Amino acid sequence: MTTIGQESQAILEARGVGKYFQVGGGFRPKQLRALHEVSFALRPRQVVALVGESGSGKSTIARLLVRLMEPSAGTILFRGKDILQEEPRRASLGYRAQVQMIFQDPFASLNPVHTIANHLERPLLLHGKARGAAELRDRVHELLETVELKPAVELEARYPHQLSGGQRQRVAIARALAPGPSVILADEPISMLDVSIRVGILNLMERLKEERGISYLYITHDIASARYFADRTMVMYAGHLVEGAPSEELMQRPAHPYTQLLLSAVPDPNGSMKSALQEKSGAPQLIDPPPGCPFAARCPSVMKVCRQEMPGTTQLDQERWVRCHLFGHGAESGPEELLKCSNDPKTPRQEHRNW
Amino acid sequence: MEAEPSTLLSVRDLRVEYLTPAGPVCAVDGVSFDIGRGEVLGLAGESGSGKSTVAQALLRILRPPAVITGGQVLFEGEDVLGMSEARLRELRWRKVSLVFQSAMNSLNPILTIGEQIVDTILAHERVKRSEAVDRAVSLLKLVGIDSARLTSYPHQLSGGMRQRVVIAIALALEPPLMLMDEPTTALDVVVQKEILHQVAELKDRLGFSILFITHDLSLILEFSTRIAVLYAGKLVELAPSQELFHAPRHPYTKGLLSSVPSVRGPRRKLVGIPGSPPDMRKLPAGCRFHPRCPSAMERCQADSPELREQGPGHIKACHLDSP
Repeated sequence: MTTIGQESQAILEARGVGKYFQVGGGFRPKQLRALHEVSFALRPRQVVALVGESGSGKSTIARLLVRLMEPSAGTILFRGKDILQEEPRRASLGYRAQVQMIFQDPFASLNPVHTIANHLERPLLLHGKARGAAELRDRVHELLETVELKPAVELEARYPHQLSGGQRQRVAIARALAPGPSVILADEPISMLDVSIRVGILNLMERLKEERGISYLYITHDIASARYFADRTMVMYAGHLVEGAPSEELMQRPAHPYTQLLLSAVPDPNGSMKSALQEKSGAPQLIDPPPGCPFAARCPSVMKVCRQEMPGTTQLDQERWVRCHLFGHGAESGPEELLKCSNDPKTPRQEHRNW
Repeated sequence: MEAEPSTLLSVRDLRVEYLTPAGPVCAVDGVSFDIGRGEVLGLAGESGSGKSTVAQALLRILRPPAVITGGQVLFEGEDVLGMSEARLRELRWRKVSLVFQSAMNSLNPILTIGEQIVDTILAHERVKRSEAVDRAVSLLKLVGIDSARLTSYPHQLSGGMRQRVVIAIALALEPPLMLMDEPTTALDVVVQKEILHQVAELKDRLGFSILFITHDLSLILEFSTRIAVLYAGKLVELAPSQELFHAPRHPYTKGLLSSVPSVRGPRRKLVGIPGSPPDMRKLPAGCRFHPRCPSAMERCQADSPELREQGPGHIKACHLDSP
């Protein structure tokens, strides 16, 4: 399949990445398809958002990229080098320094028995960023000031439980900054925080992008925050990337029916709960998935071809692409609803049974 | 504020304290509001603002060290805080039901959902088991679940379906008031929209009232008739939803609204609020919001503002443009 983005400039790139888990044992093990044919590129100083519902595979992508797991298929390139081939897992310290991660829950991602200083000293020492006690202390103070945790002298001696959620997430960001990364994978970094302090964290991340040239993969279920923070937004459904576009264009002109559904479900202060959604609900079948597009069972514009094969990637213009038969070669066959009206007996409508 | 005849629930100067070894911590400090029949009152606030504590105080299900230390709660004119345990048992669930955030995990894993709905009905009403089963079937239908699911166990259902079952149980005795504390926070937006759309329809059809608690401002604006904003245990502003959205008067409400990203309309700049919510054990003197307030004046540091009428049905507690 085609690679999305401009690979020549890409700092981090996934090509046809898949992750499959075996579930159930015995004589009939089943396959759970967590990620399938995922390809994208992250360019320097770029923020790419990955949006999708729970279980869509967003966090799995982040875990593969920081090598907490190995992919079942495909390759991951860092500055054009295949990291899976060239760097064995244990010797990938250099890669880990470059690609860091921030987790969702700042209450769980910090160690309750270590001081804030300790959290920052470890990566500094591990990656050889500081030698000697004095330099280490200076570096820790620098990091705390970078993430606007002042006064540093007072805060470094504290334990995580003495900090607020926002302050803790700032410590997590400082820790990610310690080895001097060029890419940060931020997995729902603001979703556990209070509404009034979310903007502060996003602004901090934005400032770090400007000052240090950091690229972000911003993983979120909150598509509205992607509009504000990310240059590009990609939408995931059932382990597949289904659409990618500059964030503002994706919000204004969503192409994929799933993106349209997601956007229409976002709460609207001017709306009323009276308007119903067009689409059917239900979770996608990840274990032994049926052939075709995973969204077919819920899609209001489903066609016959959607249940037979997964659509390829259609480039809508230079910056926008979508994986949907409505925009590919299958579009000529017309929506299935219309086919049904002509009494086509060969295409009985598949019962929706994913409840 | 005088309670009007259409008022279902009236709360006056409610005060809840957590009696900790280090001294009392006041989680809800003098909160007053009314809920009318068929109305959805939104209670907005951040973590620690006291919104869940209010809901639990209304049903008197607070656990020590939390204690109600003052105020009045009238439900249909009857004093809830002075009720006997026996009378409370009639109030709970039959008059006021509760759906909370992790409610979908509160279902018993070893009973079918049918048994759990039937149990709820039989615990409160003297009806035949067969009649209770019939009602369970129609309740499931009401929340959009196939009656074949009556014999399913909770683990066989998705999170969204479990939350619907919990809502069905909350509706089982047709209570006039349902308290919903972050009912859809754990769910995806599509499922959230579906469930709340359904609740809104049921409310119109059955005519019950809702106290809707969430930190999600866009959601509360879409779902509620009126909204009360809490900050650090105090009510800071109360207004009809659309008025609160278009003409907020309290700096905290303004700050909250400017923190919320939107997918619709032009792309506004997000401002946010500096600092973080206060530690309830070490509350600032004067107005509790003053350390974070962009328009704080000298008197805000010493003098706690009273709630003042701003217009019809619109009150706020702030020294700005007040005598």
